[in-house]
Amino acid sequence: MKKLVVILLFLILIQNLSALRVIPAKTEINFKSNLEKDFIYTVNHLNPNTHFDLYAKGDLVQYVTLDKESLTGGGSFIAHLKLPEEIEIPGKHIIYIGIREKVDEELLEAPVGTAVAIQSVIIINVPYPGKYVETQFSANDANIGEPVIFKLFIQSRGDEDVTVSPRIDVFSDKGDMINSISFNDRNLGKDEKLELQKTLNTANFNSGTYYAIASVNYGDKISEKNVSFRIGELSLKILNTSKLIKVGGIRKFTVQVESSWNNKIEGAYAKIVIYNKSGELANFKTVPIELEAWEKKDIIGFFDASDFEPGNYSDIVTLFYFGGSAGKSSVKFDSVRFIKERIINPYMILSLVLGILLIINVFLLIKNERKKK
Amino acid sequence: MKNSNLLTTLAVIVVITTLLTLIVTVNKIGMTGKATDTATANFTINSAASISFITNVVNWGSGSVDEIPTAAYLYTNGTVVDGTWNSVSQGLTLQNDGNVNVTVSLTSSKAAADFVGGTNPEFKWLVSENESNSCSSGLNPTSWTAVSTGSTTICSNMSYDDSKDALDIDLMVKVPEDAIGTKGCVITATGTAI
Repeated sequence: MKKLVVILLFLILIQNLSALRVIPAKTEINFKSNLEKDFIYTVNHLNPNTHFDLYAKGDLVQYVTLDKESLTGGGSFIAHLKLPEEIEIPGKHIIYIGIREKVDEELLEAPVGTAVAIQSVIIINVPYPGKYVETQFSANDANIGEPVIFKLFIQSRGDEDVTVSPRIDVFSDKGDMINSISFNDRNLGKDEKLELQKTLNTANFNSGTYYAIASVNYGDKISEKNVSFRIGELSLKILNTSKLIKVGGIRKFTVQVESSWNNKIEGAYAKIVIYNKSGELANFKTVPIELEAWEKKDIIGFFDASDFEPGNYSDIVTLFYFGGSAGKSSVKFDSVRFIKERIINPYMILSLVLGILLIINVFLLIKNERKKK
Repeated sequence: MKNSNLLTTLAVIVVITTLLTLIVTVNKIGMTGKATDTATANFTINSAASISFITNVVNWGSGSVDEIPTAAYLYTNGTVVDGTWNSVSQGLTLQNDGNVNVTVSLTSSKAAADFVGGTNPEFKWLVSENESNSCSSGLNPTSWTAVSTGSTTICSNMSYDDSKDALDIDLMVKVPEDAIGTKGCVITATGTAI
């Protein structure tokens, strides 16, 4: 019986482009008893006919009221915040103010599509009892001799004034302490914040990955943050090279490299020599490439593998590259195996298929004969 | 020498003309009693959260399941298996147009059973970066995963940097031979400012 033809229409599309923009994206305030505050939101959308649902959610949502439930095409609305006298749980509380593109239910039965929603956030910091400090810590990558700038952001989140003693310890990737940087003691009032900066001289550093721990002591407590950073030098590491290549024709040779330099490396190319006991069989250059800071990339070259026989060969990969006005090179000795390309013989496959069909046919004929008997 | 003299004369004429022009201008606007004013220009850059689907159409058109198999598979990578639908070589692309990083989650108005119908239908999605490093936190899901009507966080930290602010959402639909009709659903992307 002939199978029924099933017809199905799939369309996932939208009536228009759905760029939705909400300002502000986030607001942060510190908790104050019975605080009342209005947050004005501006909503932009490309289509003036698009409808939006407005909503609020989050753990303090009961203290927020919106002056509108929906918008069309954009506009503005107000989220009114009325905080209670006290919030028991200290720390960061987030209220999400949502603007969601309204989907026309009637369109759901027809081609339908995409929609977008944005959630702006109101962060309310409820002070911790006593002394409490939060820290943020950052460091930049640099080349040897260039400064690494540590930025330490300290914010008092307790309901008492606090004296902080910050320090930064620098470690190698093996965990050996290399440097220790101290700051002056500083007083922070309730909700007060401080941004400190120190520079690390990297003139005597080796290239590599390091990490730094910022410790902010206050009273009998400590707030710690750590970051890792890289110190670079003009160097390209050869991570890998082609290990298996088929003989015959024009073949590809790949050299995977990784930059250890914190700037762009230009004109990086490889010169590759492939040889065995009988002598040199290929000598070619790859196409030059550029690498961004710390980037890992493949350098690719092509050569004629017609004279190669299956077997093991040695290769010498010499990398040439430039960073700024300086040029460098590095060499790697490796080996590569050449293998014979397996060619599928269509006649063999055809013969196999014919053989199988013949066996099936004979089997069916015998079965039929037995049935007749 | 003659040329040098001519140039010197011309230079002197130009300087005198400029001075005269300056005197006339000062005379016109007057200088007496002029106090120095200081103007301060202040401006605030608001944080703005904005996302959009820059590719928002996936349209396989109309089609049917082929004669022999029991289902067809439609992908947004240009593949249609065992069906007569048009091939679609691009999924949805979501872009962060704002000036803050966002957490992105997806919801679908329908899962496979409601969207496709029939016996053992499938409706799956997977996410990848349209521009490298658009999602520093890692993507989810990166292999075909059943579409959910609940919220799925696909990226916890999507960049707003113009060179790395786009994610691709590919879709796959398995259409059983007993599914029929016009189908549709809405995929909603929610961007939460971080």
